[in-house]
Amino acid sequence: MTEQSNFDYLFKVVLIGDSGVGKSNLLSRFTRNEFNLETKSTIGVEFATRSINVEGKTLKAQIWDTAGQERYRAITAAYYRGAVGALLVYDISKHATYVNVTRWLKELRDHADSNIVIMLVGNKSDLKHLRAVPTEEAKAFAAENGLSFIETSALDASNVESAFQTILTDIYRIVSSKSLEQSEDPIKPTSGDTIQVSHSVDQNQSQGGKCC
Amino acid sequence: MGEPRSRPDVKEIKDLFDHLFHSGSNIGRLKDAALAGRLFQGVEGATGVAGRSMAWKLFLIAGEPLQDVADVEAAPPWKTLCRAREDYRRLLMEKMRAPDGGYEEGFTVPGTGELPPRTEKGGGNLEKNNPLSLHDENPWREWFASVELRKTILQDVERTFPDIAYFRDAEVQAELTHILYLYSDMHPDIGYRQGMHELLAPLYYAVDFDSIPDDGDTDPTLKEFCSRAWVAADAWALFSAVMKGTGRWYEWQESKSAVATAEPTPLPSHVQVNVATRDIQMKPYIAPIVEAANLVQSVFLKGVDPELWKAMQSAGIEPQIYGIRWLRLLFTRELALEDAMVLWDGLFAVDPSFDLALWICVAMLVRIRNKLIPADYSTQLTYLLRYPADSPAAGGSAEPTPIHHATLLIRQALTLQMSPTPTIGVSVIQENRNLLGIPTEVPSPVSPPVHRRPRQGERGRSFTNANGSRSLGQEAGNSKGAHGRQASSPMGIPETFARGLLERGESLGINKTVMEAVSGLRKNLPDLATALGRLPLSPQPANAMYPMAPERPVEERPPWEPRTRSEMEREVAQVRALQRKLGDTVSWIVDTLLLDEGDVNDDVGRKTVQKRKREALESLAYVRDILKGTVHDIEEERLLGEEEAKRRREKARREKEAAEALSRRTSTPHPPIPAASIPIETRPQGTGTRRSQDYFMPHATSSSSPPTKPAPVPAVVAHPPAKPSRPPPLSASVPALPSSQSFSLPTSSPSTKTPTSTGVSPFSAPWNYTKSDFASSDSPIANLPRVPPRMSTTLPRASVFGQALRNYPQPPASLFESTSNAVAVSRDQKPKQAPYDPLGAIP
Repeated sequence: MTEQSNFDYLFKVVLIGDSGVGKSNLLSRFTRNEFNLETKSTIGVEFATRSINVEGKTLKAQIWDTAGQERYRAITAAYYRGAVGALLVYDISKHATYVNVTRWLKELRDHADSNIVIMLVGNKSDLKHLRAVPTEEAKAFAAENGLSFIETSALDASNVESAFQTILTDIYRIVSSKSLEQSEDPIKPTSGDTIQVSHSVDQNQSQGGKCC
Repeated sequence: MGEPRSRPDVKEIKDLFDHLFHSGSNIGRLKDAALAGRLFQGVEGATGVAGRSMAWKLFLIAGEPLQDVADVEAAPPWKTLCRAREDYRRLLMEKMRAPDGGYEEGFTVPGTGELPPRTEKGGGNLEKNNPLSLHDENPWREWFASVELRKTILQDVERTFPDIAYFRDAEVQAELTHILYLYSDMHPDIGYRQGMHELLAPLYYAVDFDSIPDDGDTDPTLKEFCSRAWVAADAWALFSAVMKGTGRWYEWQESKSAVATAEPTPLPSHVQVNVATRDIQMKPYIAPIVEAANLVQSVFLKGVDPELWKAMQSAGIEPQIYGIRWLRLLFTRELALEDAMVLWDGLFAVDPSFDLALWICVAMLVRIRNKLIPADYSTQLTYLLRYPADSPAAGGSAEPTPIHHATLLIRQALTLQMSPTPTIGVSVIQENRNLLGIPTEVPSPVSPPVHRRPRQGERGRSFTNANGSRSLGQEAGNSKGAHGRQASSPMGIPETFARGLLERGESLGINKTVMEAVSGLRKNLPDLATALGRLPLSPQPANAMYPMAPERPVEERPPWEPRTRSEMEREVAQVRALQRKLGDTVSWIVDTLLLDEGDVNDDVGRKTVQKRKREALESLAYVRDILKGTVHDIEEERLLGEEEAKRRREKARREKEAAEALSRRTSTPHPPIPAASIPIETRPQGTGTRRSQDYFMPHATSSSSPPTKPAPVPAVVAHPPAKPSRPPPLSASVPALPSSQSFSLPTSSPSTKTPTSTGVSPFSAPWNYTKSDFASSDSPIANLPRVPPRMSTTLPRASVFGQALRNYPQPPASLFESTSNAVAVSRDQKPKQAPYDPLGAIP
């Protein structure tokens, strides 16, 4: 538990995508280095954390994994609340899951913070002989929509680490350069505002704190 | 993989069948056994338990008449089961048939296992009915959609319980898919939702486990009940029954049918009028699962374990995050499957509506409170989403617990459901300690949450963690430690504020700048507040709001023992009885107060009425005291006016006598009419009164107790007939009052000459005079003084009234004292009192 407080940044990242594309295995591969060929379907939400180091800072990733079918209202709000990153996963061997990426993007637009960092992830890259989605096509789509892109395999662990590293680093860059602009959304973490708060507190203290 | 299907002996199944249905057990007893985890022997660690599906069938799909009647002898639910099997066959045959009349390869007719007949050729219109047709009404479209749906379902079915070889069987998977497909087709509003497959799988497994091949030579009823050919149909029936209760937690959109029926529009069906719907309802749709989860955490848990609730609430845990899986799967992911099955045994037996499942959630939360309370958001969520395996009985209690921990959950859930109070919450915690070895002490959080400089003049604040105070240097060097938190420790408002921000911060993925700013805030605010001398300190220890000290019950029972269900029920029954009694009293009071003495011409009658009202008010005040809880031992006599009480006793006695008389076939032409049967509207005229008097006369004279003689009913006093014992002395001693003809008093009836108070109380108003036959020797309540009720106010008009009354001749003091010796002590104030009339009922 001491380890928990031992971080500089805390980021909530969600995993989304159709049922069966391997979200849960990406999560278990990244957080526990485990892979299971036969995993139960995710019901509701799974959740795990892992800390990584980026430029000497400890980033703690709080990764949420949801049921692929659960793109409905029941837990949507709670799921996206506070998320600063999203891994949008499809299965390179199932074209339909790639087609649905558009729907997932719409879902993100509807429910998540507008500044959320999104990465398109083509999973199951080990199934080369079954490939149904050409890498170039997905890459082009990602570029068009301003997403970063990577192909991974939770099974052979290729690029999984790199995928999470990349998105967490991206988020970190944005946050540390304070370019995550303040928005109307009160939930969204902002930096400028809070600095003011601490200033005002200091002032109050020096004045004898008449405001409290 | 092992052999995919291991089943018990037919004999074993037979034994259990006999045990369930031929041992004379009634359903209530079987349910109790299931609830106590005694239904099956040796179930520890076994996923398959012989006979389980039979019990489930009994509990879940028993015919309607059996539902409520606990003492009906348990019998296999033949009728419902046969109907369900027939339905399943018919529906599946219908739904699985492609538009050309064919079936998918490998499909067999349920129940027979034969290949389906190729019933009909495709429709004549090839334009429409053609797999390649693009026509809108092409039936193949629907067919392809259903194929697609089955594919989706199969994707989950293939991932059902990956560690149980049984579910890898392709045939089993196909059957599960059929059942789920049929269900979602029949419930289009819900459709197929992930999780249903895991709800169905154990049901199917249990039915298959108990199944008996048709060619065996066993009891034909047993063979029919557990027919292997009908495993899928039976599982479907069980699943449908379970989904009746749990289906709401799978709903994710407003029921279309509900919307449609709620708002019939004249518009053609293709016109979408969603806006109008919204305008009318003005309430966004909230999925029932979210509501249920909120109920669990924000209402139930809050009422039962406020400390835990507070910890979860301040960490920002949203209940649907864990509730969705707990409830949708009925805890099969939280508990080991075999334990979950034990839980299901009890749940199915107790509550087919599954409302109890919410309380099971509460009991489960309470069970891991020690882990949750000191934890931060991430840790809490991890525990909730990965429920700690089994009970952490590692505390040293090596001996096997006397009760299965899943059964214990059910029992606790029932107890909590029946009385959701912190006291019961504590008893559950105690129970967990005694039976599962879970300590009652919440461990301190590892990272100290409160960074405060030790200050002088600080009032005694007790933190739950002993090492809660850190040195200044440590604190300065540890700005990163700002994320530790301690939900249970009392904090000043600034700290709580900062802490809340931090917790929110973590749950929201807030960045470091914010964190640092907030920890600065946290450090500064307390100082600031102290400087102001207003540091809001909580004077109480951490757990003061949730006292851990057991509240010792009066009984011998150890305090951690929750009250049993029967006790609670008894209490509820008592409360109900009291309610009924009070309701009865109040209705009598209302009747009495509604009497209008203006209708009575003579003073005597008026006084009688007034006296009654006075009594009614006393009773009302007494009822008030009872309801306020200031009275504990209820004296029934005080609930009704003396007269009324007497009349009722009399009535009961008369009815008894009448019944006896009738049974003896006496020659009485008219059975005595109970006074109460005179409706309020009827105003008995003189003759009527006389006649009833005639009826009662023989009783009165023959009866040994003089005051039992019923009185003629004054014309206006419809409800309670006047008591004969009171008026005569009044009229005798107050000759100035003329007696009216309508109020025919038996002036010198010997029955009224009670030598006690009745004959000697000519003083003032009747309601000041409280003795009467109340104190008569034959009355069982003779020595019960009527304590004057405590009235909150005395209206001025009452005193005016009292003034007027004082003009009446007072009784000789000596007389009064001599006759009321026994009760004078408590009553002596009474005659002196001005009549109270808080309701203004006495004019």
